[in-house]
Amino acid sequence: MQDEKALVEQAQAGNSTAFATLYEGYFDKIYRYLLLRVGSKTEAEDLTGQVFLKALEALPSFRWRGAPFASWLFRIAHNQVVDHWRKASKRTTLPLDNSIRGGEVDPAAIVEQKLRIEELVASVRDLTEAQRQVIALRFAAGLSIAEVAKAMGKKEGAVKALQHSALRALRRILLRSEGDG
Amino acid sequence: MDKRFEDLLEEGIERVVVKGENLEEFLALHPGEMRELGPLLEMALAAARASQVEPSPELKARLRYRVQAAFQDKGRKRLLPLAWPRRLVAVVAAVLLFFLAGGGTALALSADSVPGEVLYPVKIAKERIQQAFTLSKGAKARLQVKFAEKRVNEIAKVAQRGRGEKVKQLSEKVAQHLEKAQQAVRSEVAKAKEEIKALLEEEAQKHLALLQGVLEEAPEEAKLPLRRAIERSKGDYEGTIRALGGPLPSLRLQMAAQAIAPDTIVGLIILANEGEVPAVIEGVEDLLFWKGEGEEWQQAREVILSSTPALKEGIRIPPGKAVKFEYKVIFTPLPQARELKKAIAVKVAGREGVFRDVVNLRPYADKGLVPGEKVEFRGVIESINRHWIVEGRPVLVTKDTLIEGKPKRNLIAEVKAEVRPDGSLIAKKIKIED
Repeated sequence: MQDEKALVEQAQAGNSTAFATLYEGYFDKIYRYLLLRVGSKTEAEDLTGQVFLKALEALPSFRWRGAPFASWLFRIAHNQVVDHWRKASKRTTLPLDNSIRGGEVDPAAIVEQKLRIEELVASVRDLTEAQRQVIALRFAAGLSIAEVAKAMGKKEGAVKALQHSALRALRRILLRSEGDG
Repeated sequence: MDKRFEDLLEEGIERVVVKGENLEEFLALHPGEMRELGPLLEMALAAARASQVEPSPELKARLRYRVQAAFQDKGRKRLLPLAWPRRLVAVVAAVLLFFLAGGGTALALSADSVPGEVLYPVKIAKERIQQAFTLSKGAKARLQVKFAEKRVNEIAKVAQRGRGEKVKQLSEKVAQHLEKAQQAVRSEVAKAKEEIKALLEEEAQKHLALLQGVLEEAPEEAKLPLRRAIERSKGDYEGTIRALGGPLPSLRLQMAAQAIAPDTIVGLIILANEGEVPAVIEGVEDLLFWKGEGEEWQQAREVILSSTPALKEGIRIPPGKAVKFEYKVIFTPLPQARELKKAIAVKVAGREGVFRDVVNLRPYADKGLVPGEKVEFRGVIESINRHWIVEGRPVLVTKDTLIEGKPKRNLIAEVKAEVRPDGSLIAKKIKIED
């Protein structure tokens, strides 16, 4: 993305093209992060829209104080996840996942991808909340350690330790599930 | 934990997962840590690859539209860009001068004013500024509907005060706002039309209910003009809704389901068209979910057959008609499941979203088994997976199960199993006959 600081400042000044550029740059990352955190494609789609609308509302109050824009945006995403689970505990609805659509892409590859993400979503549920967040921010959203640290409000050393423990735990969970039966 | 190892792990993730360098080459640089580092980096690679789900372009475009519309509604009020038209600058200047002359409080107080009161022109001026600042068609239409709501509230107030002539004027204004909403909406895309229609239907109900309530309490001299205003507003709302493109298809979906075997669910789906136009099916999704004791819901992955042959894309249900579809789902049994949910969603042409229904059902259970009981039976091996199906009975096969012979479907097997606390069977020994 072109100079992000300049884009954010232009968006704050009312430049819709600048905001659209930020939207295009972060959309996929936010969506993947939310998909891993909530485990449902439908919910992830709804929440992705909410994240950008909330970001738009809060944009005037964003300040460059050493925390990158990505960290700020993913904090908003995290808060959406927390609200989602708070509301979900009061409901009895299910994730109703969309089907795999055929067409121009290879259905077998899509099925395989779908199973991989489902397996990952199921596995991260057994991690601690902090481990889940690190996995989602680092690998689904593709943030750097520094950005993850700012988004989580932790030191980089603490995030690296969480990353280590999360990967170990995830490996244990996946090996255990393959061993069943 | 070893800080140095964590730094090394992070370096490996950065180089191998993020930058795509070769894993083996990286590990070769750190032979002492290879044994622990390798599996963790493989896990990181797997997590990164599994997460690379592509959102659909349609979703991205649809949300982009929403966000851009919200941006245009909100994002330009803070600063005055230099390139505004003279007219807008003049209006804004007038309002600022008004504030400077002590009018800020007046603007706040004008919100509740009605025609004939001193502050009413301030209220109208504010609305004109809002209109000037609202650029997207959808937002303009929504704003006009909100203005119509304000005029309706004003009608209620002036009617309560017995001012019949103002009721008529305000009724004209409601019609004008709704006409402007209609004009704005003509160039709007279908999705925004649906939102505005829904808003209009909701607002129409609220407004008309409000005015009906006021009618009952209004002084005699205001009743007749108020009745006319109600009829006129009703007609104006209906006309505006009709102009937006007519009624939408509406479906009521009901499903019944029953587990008739460890691996089979059968049921019925009824689709009833409660709308005024035919409903054309664009797509059908049906899914099965299960939950173990103390666990969360999961989607059943190994669905061998899910068949609702008659319910498919292109089916057309006339208004006022209901159609029944039988279905059957065959899946790899889930002995660990305590509950099942069968879900279906139907997409109808011309509607965003889906119509859906979900049914809870109990898994099929072998009757009369006591936990801890030993069970022996013989039959054809129908399926070999995490759970084998032998003569229609699912048994969990673990690494502790003693298997004699070559596991192969359609061979005969003798099974010695034990009943688990949840009623499912775990195989202790399976002897396969050639």
